Amino acid sequence: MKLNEISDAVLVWGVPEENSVSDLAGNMIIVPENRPFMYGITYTIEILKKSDIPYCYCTDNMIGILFQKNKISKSIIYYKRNTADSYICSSGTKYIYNLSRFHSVPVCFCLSQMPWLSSINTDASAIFETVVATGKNIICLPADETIPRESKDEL
Amino acid sequence: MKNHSPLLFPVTFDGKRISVLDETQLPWKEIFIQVDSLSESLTVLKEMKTRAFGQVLLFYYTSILASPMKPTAVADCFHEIRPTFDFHTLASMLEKSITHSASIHDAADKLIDNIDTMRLKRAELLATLLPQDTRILTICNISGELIYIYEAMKNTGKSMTVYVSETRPYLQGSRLTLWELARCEIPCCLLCDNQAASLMESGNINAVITGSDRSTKNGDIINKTGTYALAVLASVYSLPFYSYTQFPLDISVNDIPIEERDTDELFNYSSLEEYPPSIYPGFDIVPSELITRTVRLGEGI
Repeated sequence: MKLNEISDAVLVWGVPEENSVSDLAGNMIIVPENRPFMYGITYTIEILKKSDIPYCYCTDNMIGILFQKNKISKSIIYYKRNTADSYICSSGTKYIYNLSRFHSVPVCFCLSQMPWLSSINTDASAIFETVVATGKNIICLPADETIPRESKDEL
Repeated sequence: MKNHSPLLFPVTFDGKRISVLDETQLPWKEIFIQVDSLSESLTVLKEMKTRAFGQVLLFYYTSILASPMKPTAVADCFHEIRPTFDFHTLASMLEKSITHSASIHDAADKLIDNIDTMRLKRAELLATLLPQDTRILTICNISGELIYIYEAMKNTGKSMTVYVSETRPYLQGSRLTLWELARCEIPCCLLCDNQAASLMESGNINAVITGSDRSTKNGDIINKTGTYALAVLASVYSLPFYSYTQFPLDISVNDIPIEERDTDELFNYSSLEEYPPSIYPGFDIVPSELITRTVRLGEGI
């Protein structure tokens, strides 16, 4: 696909539940990789395929240009759990959240009880099945990121 | 400091033949590809065996091989393969230098030496702008110039740690930058591209430094996909964003084509048999409002 084939798309981050994915019907869905766990290719595109929902895959660092070119009209962040004042989400969520807010794109949060992975590709040392870096220079950041909760964001 | 990075001069020329360090094989293998003709250079370019400063060297040395073909005509061929990079400015510099040199080879050597002097000088300039304990976030690979910055920092009694964004899909951060920094024993860490915001919020970063493939006189840059996101996040977290530029032109970034590459390349490191519909914009644009300062080649002299 080319950038000019995408418009008014919905960006999903994290893993949607199969029984709620019909809410996405009628939209072009942008599915980022969701490094390091690769949720995008492991789960999300499989779930969208089953429901015949059109999607476009991209690497996480391509999300910026999609926002810049006004290709995304809404971001949906699937979170793991919440507290009274925050959402507990997967690694990389602050990246998506801040880019959405900077471009004034509405963000919706949605609870997903999918099996969140923590055992494969837990840092940047490997991609798919390929090890690209080893040793003491690999930073291991928390698998969860916390986003402050605002009631208007709840889906 | 053990060694300088091979990426400072990834392409060499012995007078008859060009030797190109195959960057797609790093960090696993250090293989040099021998190039004897313009068509072989174009293949190397298309397959991204070299990029960044390697493209500059490849262009100059190919112009020698292809002579008496004009450098501008060589630039036309290079531009067709990598439309975002500015080969025509390199060609006009070479054509100008030829008029003051004994041969095209002599002219190219002079330009390359001059560029390297300028790289050292701008590292010294940037070192004066960075804080005492600098913790840089960078993306992609700026052809060994982080090592020049580290040396300049050290010479002024400053320390530097580099956080390297992996830079999907080609992983220039993981495969090239982390590799060259580690072999020079420069403190460095690798992160996933999407972990930049978390790292900035935690206070681990106090500056972002990137290269650029193109730039304009009003301070906009075009660089590897993901650079724009880092600039936005640096702005959100009030961090300075510096970008190295080469030969800024008096044009609009909107006039520069953004290369969209074959999306199969997103899955280079996988064993998937079928690829999902995807996009692959190779570059993005960072407007000057998000850039604290560009550091141009030639500044600091």
